[in-house]
Amino acid sequence: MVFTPPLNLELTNPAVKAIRPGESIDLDPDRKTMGFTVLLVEPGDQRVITFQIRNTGSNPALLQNLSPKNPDSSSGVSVQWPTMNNVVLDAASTSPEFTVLVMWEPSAIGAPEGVVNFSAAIQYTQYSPP
Amino acid sequence: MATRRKNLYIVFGVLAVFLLSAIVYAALTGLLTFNGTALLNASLRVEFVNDPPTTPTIEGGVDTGNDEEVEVSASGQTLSFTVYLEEPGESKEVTFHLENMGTADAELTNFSSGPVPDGLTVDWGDDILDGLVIDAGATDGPYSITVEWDIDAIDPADIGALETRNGTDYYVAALSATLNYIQATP
Repeated sequence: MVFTPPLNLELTNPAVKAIRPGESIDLDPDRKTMGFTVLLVEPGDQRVITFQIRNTGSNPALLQNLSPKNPDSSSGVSVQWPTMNNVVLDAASTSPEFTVLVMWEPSAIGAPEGVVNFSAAIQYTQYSPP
Repeated sequence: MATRRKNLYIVFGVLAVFLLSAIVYAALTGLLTFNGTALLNASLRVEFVNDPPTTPTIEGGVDTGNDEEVEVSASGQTLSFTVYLEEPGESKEVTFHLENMGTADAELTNFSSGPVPDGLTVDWGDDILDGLVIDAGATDGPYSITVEWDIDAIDPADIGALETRNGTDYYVAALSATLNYIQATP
């Protein structure tokens, strides 16, 4: 007998569009953490990261409280996270594709070359219809 | 004694409730995390292509037995060529391709050319090349440089040295062009 947890969300289908040499994307074994590295080559350059979320639990789940930690504006890098707050995922379903956009700001011509880190987390809970 | 045992049961019961609550909470909530890194790393480099089938050529070039009649420097930045001209009015065309080896789009500025002997007119292709944008990773061309022995040139010796190849006399001019480029504005 397979035990289905009451609530479990996993990340799935991670991808960097038109991935370049030197870029990478992967999931932790528990599929709850996604890590990626993208290469920005000039001001105005942008990279698109996509993923989906799969509900492998037996109850619907509600995504909420997206908490990003974006780069400082002086880095020249901006990150646009997808709208995930208040998204409901039915049991045994997979979300539409979400997109993260990472950009070297066009105006940041003098931005120093280097490494810029950023992150985000989103919480999920069991969804109870009103 | 009975009271102490009863109190212990109460404590264990409360702890069990808290533990059960934590387990239930953990089972009914979770976190998805995203960790990203952006590497800002632009490189700028354009070169004359020197690989077949787009190695530089001279149209109507003389078979001198010398493979270095047209030569790309080791850095890929300079194109050196030798033209063999028989008489005034004759012209030779050097054809080449360019490749953006860098990770940023590049905009060509004017060639920096070597000295041009008197009696020769050289069209370096500035009207096309100056301001040309080559995308990162792209190869562009063919482009050409045209060298013409002026019809009114007085002294052929101004062109260069006289050489005889396969029974034909040529005046030989050695010329070169070096790339200049900047990062293209997005």
